[in-house]
Order: sequence, then structure tokens, then C-alpha cells
Amino acid sequence: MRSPHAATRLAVLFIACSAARVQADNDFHGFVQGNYAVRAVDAECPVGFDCSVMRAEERLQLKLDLASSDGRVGAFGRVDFVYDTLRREAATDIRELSTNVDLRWISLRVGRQVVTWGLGDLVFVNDVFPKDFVSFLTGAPLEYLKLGSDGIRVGLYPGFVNAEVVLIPVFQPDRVPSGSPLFYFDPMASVASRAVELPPVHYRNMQAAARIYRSVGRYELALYVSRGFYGTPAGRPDDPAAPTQLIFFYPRLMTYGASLQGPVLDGVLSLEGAYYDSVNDRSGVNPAIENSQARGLAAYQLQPWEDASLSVQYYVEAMMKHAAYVNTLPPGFPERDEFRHLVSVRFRQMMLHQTLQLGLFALGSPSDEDLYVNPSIRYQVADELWAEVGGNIFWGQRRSTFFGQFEDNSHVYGTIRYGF
Amino acid sequence: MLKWICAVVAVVAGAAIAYADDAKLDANAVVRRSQDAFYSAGSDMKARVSMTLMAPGGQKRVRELTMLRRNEGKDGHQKYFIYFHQPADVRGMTFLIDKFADKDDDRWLFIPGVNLVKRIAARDASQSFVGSDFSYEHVSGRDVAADTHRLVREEQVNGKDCYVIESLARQDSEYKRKLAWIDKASFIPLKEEYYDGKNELFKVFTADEVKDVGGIPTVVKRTMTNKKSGHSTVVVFADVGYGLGIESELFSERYLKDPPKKWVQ
Repeated sequence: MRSPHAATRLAVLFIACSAARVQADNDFHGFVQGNYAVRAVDAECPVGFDCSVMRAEERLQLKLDLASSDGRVGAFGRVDFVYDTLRREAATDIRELSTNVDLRWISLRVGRQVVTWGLGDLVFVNDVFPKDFVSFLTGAPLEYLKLGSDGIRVGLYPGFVNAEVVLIPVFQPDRVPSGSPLFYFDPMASVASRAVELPPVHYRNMQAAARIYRSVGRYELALYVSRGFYGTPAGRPDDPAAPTQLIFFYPRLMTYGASLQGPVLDGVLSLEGAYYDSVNDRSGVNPAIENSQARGLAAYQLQPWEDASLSVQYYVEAMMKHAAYVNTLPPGFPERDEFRHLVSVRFRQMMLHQTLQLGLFALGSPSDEDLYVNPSIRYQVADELWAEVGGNIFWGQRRSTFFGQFEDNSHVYGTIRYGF
Repeated sequence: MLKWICAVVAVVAGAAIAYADDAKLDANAVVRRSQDAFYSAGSDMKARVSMTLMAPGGQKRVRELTMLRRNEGKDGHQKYFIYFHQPADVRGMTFLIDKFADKDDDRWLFIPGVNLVKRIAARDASQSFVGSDFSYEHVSGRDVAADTHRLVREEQVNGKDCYVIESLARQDSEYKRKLAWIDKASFIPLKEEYYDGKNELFKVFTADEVKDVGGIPTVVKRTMTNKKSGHSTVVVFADVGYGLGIESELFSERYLKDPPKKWVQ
């Protein structure tokens, strides 16, 4: 369980104090869920450890939505109580816990909240907010890919243009694989000792992000800027000549981006781009730190027939200092291409009065020669109950590419959820 | 003599054409007034909508939502804001439809779990609305010019005098031909029959209960039955209100994410 930061504690206090005074109209709901995943490939499990089951957990989520009768003040909480059958551990996971004030021109939300920006489908261009790749890689429902951020979100709505500003006082990294039962590419596997250096808590290390958006006819235009850190860590050996310890740290990152979305012919066209300014290594000579990048995305979504949707997406990222990166890359490290291309297709067909949903998502890179495929079937057994089975299949020509490294994590998952 | 015959034929033919034109005009006017009465009454509208989907085997599924509508002008431009209360899986989802008379809707869906507003491609207004037997067109209306209308007869339904209008689809539609019994007094459709390409009846709509809400006749209970599959959907409108002053700002990304409690409870 992540311990709540000051903003969240404040929200708890506020909710406790105001709950008694807030008028009815309250909304108390949640779900009970079982979620299981079994490895679909033979993998070399650590000695004495059966790693064939990747996820086996039961979860109770309680959701409380409070609001004053005029709707101006409210609070929202989503808390999961999890029992991990694999590790025989119980845990509490505060997914969201925040309080909000809504006025005509301005809104304020303080506490833990999920922020999602941008138009990518499992590809992130201007969404710099924390993600949980471990949940994603072990068969959790997709909503668990997004982590809440402890911070303040201010919305400004003067009308001709709207804006959102998010301040996150304490840096929160992505949750990335770091050991069993997940396999991933580790270029310095021989260095067993690991340490993590988080940016110190300091106002200069506060993450800030802003989005300005407006509609232009039937099109939506948005501009984005953010200041913070890479969510996934960089690895720095304590002594490059004879490393005894690998130190994971989070380099600084500034991003500038834009997006445009609107109808074209019978579908919806999405365009998004961003410049990733790798502040700690603008010259590209530090191989541990990501190069500055330009990222671009184009997607098109349409309805080929009733109850079906099809979307295709193309994404490219370009390293800005590829020559410098190649020159300083230590021997033995796999070299990345200057351009990384990704193509995805998502198809969904609903049947039986939209109670049965067949899904297929494939995301692959022709340049990296790797692929991720997610077939799924979900059936709404009754209004309160659904069950889904699917697979998260990873494949790569090499184990050093993004999806290739996860090949041995390919799995079949099942989820059953009863909502109330 | 031949001249006279020609003249008489011309006059009769002209009168017949003029009569046919009148009938056509009348049918169009009836359909237009019916659309206005059924889909555009008041400057805005709010209702708590309960849809019960009934499978031939008897299994029931319930969708509950709050629907807010605002008319944006005289050209048929409307905005719909829909908040889902039930089933549990979609609770808190919101749906925004920007509806135009002569082009495809713009649609946005808000998914609360990931706090994401997603724009959805919408080409086909005749597709099912949330899995029910009603289509988007049944919820928000169909362009009058999308069909050719003809007044075929007049008859009573439940003791009410009705125009019976036949509409032949000129544009893409789930039906080829439709017969509508439109109440002469309120212009509310009391019954509709939908025929497919083989001219076989496949759907029947009935207005089961019409209530006066602030002077506006409102269908508070309606049923659509699929005659081929045996599946049917019963829709009940509760807490209906018109001219409530629903703000235009409501139909925005901001309120999709944070639906105002005063409208969606």
C-alpha cells in the first residue's frame, strides 16, 4: 500500500469533518472481483518457485461519492481491499480519495486522483501521469494501468478556452517490473545490488502539468506542457569500470505537446505530438538517460457496422541525439534505432444486445520487430455480474525490445466482477 | 375535338399531380410536427429513464439513466447529456451526443475508471442504443428528409384519431418502410410498424402511456418489440421536466467528467 501524502490526508480529514454535514444524495457503491492470470509460456522460474500463476487475487472496492445539495462541494473515494492469494497477503489500496469544489469558472480537486490526457491507445504522448505496468503485465483489468496522483487539479473555464493545471508535490514513479514473477530485459543483470534514488521532496521537484483546450468547430484542439521526471527509472552503475551496484534514478523531463481530434469522412481522426526535453542529458552523451525525443501519433477510428468499432493507430518516436547516443553506448548494450515505429489495430464487436463483447488489440513495432496482442471475450452474465477471459501475449525478435523483453510474461487471464 | 380531349386530360392530370403534391406536403408537415412534438418539445428536457430489456426466454436487464436534452436552434441541432445509473458496470459513465439534422452525430463517452473522455465514431444512427431494441434515431429523431412520406389513410388508435403515414427510407436505415399512426391532436406517434427489405414486419413501437407534463403531451411509457427475435424493450420516463434552463456549458468535457449533481441525481 502506498502511504497517503499530505494532500490525501487533508482530503481524508475534510471528508471526515464534512460527511456529517453533507446532505443526502450520497452514492455508495463498489464491486467484488476475482482476478487470475496463468503464464501461457514455459519460463525458467527461479529455483524452488513456481511462477506459473502470475496473479490470483480477490478484491473488494468501495466507492463513495459525496456531494452537497447544490453540487458545489464534494468528495470522492475509491478504496480497494485486496487479498493476494499468491503471497497470502492482504492490503489496502487507495485508488482515489479526493475532495472538490466546483464553481462556475473554476474547479478544484485536492487529493489522490487519476489524470488521463492525450489521445493514444496504450501509447502515451502527453500523458505523463503515473502508470502501473506491473498490473498491466499480470492480467489486471486495464483501468489498473493508471495510478492515482496525489496532488491538486485546478480547472479554469473562462469559456473561449479551458484549462487544467495539475500540481503533484511529491514525485510518484511508474510501477515497473522489478523481479519475480516478471521477466524483463536487464542489461546489467550481473550487478545484483540495486538502489533507488527518488527526487528529494522539495518544491523545485514538484511536478506540474497544464493542458489548454478548446473546440474549433467540430474539432478539439489541446496544448500541453509538463515539468517533472521520467516515470521509468534510468540505471547508473556506481563505478562504470567495475560496477558493484546499479542505482536507479529519475532524470528530469519537460514536455511540450499538442493534439487535434475531429470527424473526417465516416470516422474520427486523432493527431497528437510532443517534444520530450531530456533536461539532464540534452546533448545525448549519457547513455543511462533517455535522449530527448519527438513523439507523434495519428489514429483513425470508425464503425464498420453495427455494434463494432475499429481503430488503427500509428506512433513514432525519434531520438534527437542518436549519433551521440551510439557513440557513448557501452559495448555489449543493444543499440536502439533512431526511429521507433508502432502500429496498432483495435477491433471490438458487441453481440447479444451488447452483453457479449469480443475484442482484439494488437500493437507492434516493425522497427523493433516486436508485438503485443490482447484478445478478449467479456460476457455480462447479469446486470451486476460480468466475466472476462483473455490473453496478453508478448513476442519479440530480440529480448531487448519493449515487448520482446516481456515474451515470457505472456499469459491468459480471467476476471469476474460483481458490482453493487 | 382532339384539342378538347387533350385539354381535359391535361387539366385532370394537373389536378391529380397538384392533389398528390398536397398530400405529400401534408405528410411531410405531419412528420415534421410529429418529430417536433416527440423529440424537441420545450427548449430543454430532463427525464429519468428506465429501460427494461426483455429476452424471449424471460431474462430481464435494466438500464437506468438520466437524459438531459437542450435544443440549440431551429435547424434541428440538439445536445444530449446522458448519465448512467445502472447497471453497476457502467455507473458514473456519461455520454454526450451533439446531434445534427443533416450530418452524423458527434459523440463522446466518459469512462470514470481511467478518467478518460473518449470521442466515438458514429456513422450509423440506426444502430441499437445501449443494446436495447431502440436505436439512436428512436431516442433523438431522424431527419425528415431522410424518408419519402405519404399520408395513406386516417384511422383510430385507442380511440384517438390518427394520420397513418407511410415513410419509405431514402437514406441508410434499419427499415425500408415504416407506418406511423400519429395522433391528430398531439402529433405524438401512438404506434409504428417497421418493415425490412423483404417487406416483412420486424419491429413494432407503441406509446403505452401519454401524460401531460406542463402542457406538453409526453410519452412516459413506450415499448419496442422485435417481432423476429421476440426481444423487447420497455422504456419508462420519470421526473420529466421541460424548460428547466439547462445551461449550454453542461454539454462539455468538464461536466462529462464531473456531472453536476443537481441534474443527474
